[in-house]
Amino acid sequence: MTASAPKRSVIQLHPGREEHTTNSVGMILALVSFTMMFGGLFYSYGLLRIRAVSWPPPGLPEMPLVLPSVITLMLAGSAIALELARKRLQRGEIEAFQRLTMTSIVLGVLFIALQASVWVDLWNAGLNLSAGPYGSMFYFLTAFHALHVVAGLGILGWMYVASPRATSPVLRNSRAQLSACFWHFVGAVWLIIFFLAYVF
Amino acid sequence: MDLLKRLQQCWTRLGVALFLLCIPLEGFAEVAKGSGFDMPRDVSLDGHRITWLINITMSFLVILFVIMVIWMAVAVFKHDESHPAEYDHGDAGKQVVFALSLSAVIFLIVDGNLYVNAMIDLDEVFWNFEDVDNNPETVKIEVNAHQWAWDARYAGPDGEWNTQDDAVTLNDIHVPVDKPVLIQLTSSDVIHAFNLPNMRIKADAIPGTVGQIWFQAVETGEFDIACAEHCGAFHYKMKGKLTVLSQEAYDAWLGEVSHQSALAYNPDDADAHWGWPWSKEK
Amino acid sequence: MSTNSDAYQNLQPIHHPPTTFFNKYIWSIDHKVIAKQFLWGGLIFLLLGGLQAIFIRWQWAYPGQPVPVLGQIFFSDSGGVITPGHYTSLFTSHGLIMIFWAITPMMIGAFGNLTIPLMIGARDMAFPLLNALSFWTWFTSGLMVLASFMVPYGTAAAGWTTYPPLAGNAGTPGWGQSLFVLAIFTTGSATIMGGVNYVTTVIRLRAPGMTWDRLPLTVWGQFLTAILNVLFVPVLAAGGILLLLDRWFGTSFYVAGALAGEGAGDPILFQHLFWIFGHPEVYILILPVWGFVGDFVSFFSRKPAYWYKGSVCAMALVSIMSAVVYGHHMYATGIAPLLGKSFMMLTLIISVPAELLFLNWLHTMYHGSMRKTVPMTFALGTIFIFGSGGLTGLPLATITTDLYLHATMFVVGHFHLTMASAAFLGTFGAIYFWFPKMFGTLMNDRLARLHFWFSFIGLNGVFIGQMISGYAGQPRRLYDPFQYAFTEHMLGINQITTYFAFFLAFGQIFFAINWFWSIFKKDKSCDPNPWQVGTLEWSVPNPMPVYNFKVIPTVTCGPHEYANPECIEKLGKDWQGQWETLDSSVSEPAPAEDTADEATDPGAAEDAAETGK
Repeated sequence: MTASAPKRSVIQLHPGREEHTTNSVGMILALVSFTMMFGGLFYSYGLLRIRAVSWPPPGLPEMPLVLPSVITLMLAGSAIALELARKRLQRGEIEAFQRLTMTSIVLGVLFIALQASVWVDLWNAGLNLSAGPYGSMFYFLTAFHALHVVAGLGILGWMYVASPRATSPVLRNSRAQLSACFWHFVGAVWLIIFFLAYVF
Repeated sequence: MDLLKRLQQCWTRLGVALFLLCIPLEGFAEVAKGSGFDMPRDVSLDGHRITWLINITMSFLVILFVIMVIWMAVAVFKHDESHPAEYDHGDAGKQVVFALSLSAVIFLIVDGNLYVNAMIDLDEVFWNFEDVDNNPETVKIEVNAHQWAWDARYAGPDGEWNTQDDAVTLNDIHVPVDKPVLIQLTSSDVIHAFNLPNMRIKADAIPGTVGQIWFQAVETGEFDIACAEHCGAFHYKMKGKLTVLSQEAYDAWLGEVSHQSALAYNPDDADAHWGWPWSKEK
Repeated sequence: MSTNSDAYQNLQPIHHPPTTFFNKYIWSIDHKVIAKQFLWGGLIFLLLGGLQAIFIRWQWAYPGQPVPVLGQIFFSDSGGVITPGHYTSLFTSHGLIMIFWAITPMMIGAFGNLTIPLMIGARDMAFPLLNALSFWTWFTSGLMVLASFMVPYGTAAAGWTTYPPLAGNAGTPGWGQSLFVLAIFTTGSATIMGGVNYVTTVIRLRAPGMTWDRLPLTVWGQFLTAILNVLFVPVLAAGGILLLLDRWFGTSFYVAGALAGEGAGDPILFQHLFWIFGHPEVYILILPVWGFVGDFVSFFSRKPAYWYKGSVCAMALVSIMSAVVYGHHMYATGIAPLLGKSFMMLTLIISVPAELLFLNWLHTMYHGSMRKTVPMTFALGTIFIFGSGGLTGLPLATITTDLYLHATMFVVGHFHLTMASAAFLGTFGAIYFWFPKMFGTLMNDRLARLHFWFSFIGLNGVFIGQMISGYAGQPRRLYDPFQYAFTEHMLGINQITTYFAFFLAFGQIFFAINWFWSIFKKDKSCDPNPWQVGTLEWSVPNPMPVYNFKVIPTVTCGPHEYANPECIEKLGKDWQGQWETLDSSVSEPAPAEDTADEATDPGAAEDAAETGK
């Protein structure tokens, strides 16, 4: 029962890196939570769809594919821009980082704007909430996701300002990496929703 | 020689313990009866399976609980401050095996008994709707639950559901004795549950779905139908009456009610035509 | 080695302590203060939930008669009589308040916050700001609950299970139900924040030497609970959002039957989502208590916890399996037979690890040297009552027996014995145990024992009474249970049960007196380690400094090192603190000496420079 110190050497105990790891664990857990919530919603989609007599129910407007595909590509572009931004940040190129981050944010805003126009079109064409769970599920999944896009945009905005202000390169990159984590999560969820809401 | 003696002692003790344990088995039901809190009178063909399984399980549980309390009592009263504590982490191989074995034995006896009997009873009786549905003697009833009463519907002489000659009643179900009764049920507003305590069974009535429940009464008499799912402020008053009659009395009753319902039939009253074609999906 | 500690010290820098009243007591990021905030808040709601229980019991013992004194305050619109409408709100809000606003903040919010950093040797949680946010989010949700009582049509009334369609607009109109669901969503977010914090802290901030197999069982209980919260509260959030959408925007996720119109949703969908959360939730509400009991039984039998690894594995196994047994709440809904039978088998299996935990506790106290302290008394009471309650889960797990027992008082007795009573006794045991650490003095012993016996006898009386009436078939949630022929004779047992409830309620006065007197008394001298226990928090002086550990300790042994002959010989006492070695009996590691171990840390100087600001 003598004292046993940890085996790893002191060199590895860099406070910035330790803090980043801790924050990463937190971010992963938070994303697990969000995953379970979206999981619950996808489960609901599945259950309602299986129990429905016909899906979609007859007499409803066709689901558009062009605009939704375009906004999907926009979201993908936003993700790519963000990764490019992070690479520049790691090299210390702050201006480039901020330009690319702004590109990412703008693409995100466009995503929401165009998604809103899809909603308006569909609503006017007759897809509304009285169409049973089909309509309810479509609007809810896409709107709920859009809400998370808005939150993500807020986080990207924070990253835009806070990363360059960080007191060490480690912290700078940490903030960017964790923000990107959330944004990519939102993008990945969109891929699933895109298929469930528009394609299938 | 020593080992043999110890084995003999062990088996003897085990034998005595098992013998003693047999005494309280089944005792649980006697205690319950004596205290006046027995289950409601069972007038069903198969309810005894449930009664027996509950009682024997409760007996097992009482035995386990008593053993636990005795064990604790010894620790509390004999192994107190005056007793020296053992430095034992309890993780030696033999100890682990003992703990796991004891758990396994309890599991196999108590849980195993529950599982095996439940599986048999479900397949033979309680969830065996197919045989009951195909039996030509089965009396079929459709029940619609709503806040806060039970509508019941019998197909009537034409054998078709939701037609003019259907016998439709309110809070009043009559069935013949010694014949299977198969009920399909739904609700038109919130979730209710159809509860027959004297048959030991219940099933949810869910809007948008058709559920099933069946029983066979072995005694005539009047029994309670209760609601077993919270359905609003007057859930406590959602009371129906189940009357079990002889075959002749039942036929007479059905004929009379069918006649009355046909007279009262209003083709424009959509709400009254809540019946559905008998569901064969299950 | 001491320089390793040095580096660890810098990872959790000591901040300036707060100076203003606001930073000390209102917006505090100190886990110890937040723990107290949750404890006070939880106790207040426990009082409210308990009052509601008394009203329910009153109605069953004296149906339709006006409630004396309190009736004029709470049911003035009906002359002090509890109406059917009141009654449905009573049992609904009693359940919801007890679960989310009493037990959760006390057992998890308070004791998770208090014990985790201290017992693992950290200075605070991983995310102190998030911690404060989680308390104030919970507090906001509490305000929503109180607001729901004051709106037209009253508060939620669809049962704590909130099943649609009854919980939809048609079934329960008005703002009360919506506010309550929103409150659940809000407190759920607070719980998730807390869960993320607890899990991250245990993973990342354990002191050197605090390996996973040296964690106190209390920490394991909180850790596993936090994981379950992170995983399953979001599923409840999903179910709740869909319900609110149905209520507010006319969507049709759960709408069916005559109300459905063109397209029908599925009310059973809610039940799936709810119980995927709901069953893990009952384990969430007991795992911390299993942790407390596991530790207390060892501490006060002065003996190591029997087969520690087995207990940890059992708790973990129960956690893992918790989500795949949920269908046993839905046997009567008409689920597919194969699905139902699978749930039955899994539910029966999940009883095995729980049994194993019991065996380990019994083995721990056997051949021990039991000190019948107040916390130990509560632990013994918890074991007794969880034993009876847990066993009665078996006939409920089985489909055929459940056909009879479902929705009877047998179910209510079962979950009140396991969830309410065991959680109650376990959490109060924890309060008495950690009170000297939190408030600098022991609570009064005699009052505590009175509190115990009134509570223990009361809890057993009430819930065994319920099991008896449930066995006899009395259904649950009935305003007047005596309407039926098969329940006519049950007024007597219900009255006796109610008397036990009054007895239980009365006993809480001893706690209330003890609580206020102990916290606010002037003379508070107390040994910093009155229980002679070796987990890390007892090495911290009283009152606890904001930063907990001046020097982050290096952990040398497990949390249950009692009765070790080598320890008795070398340290002259029957317990070894987790910070103590058997070679010398220092109560804290020596302050860092930077010349000592250059061989092991060539980078120390470099690191020190980078750490800077």
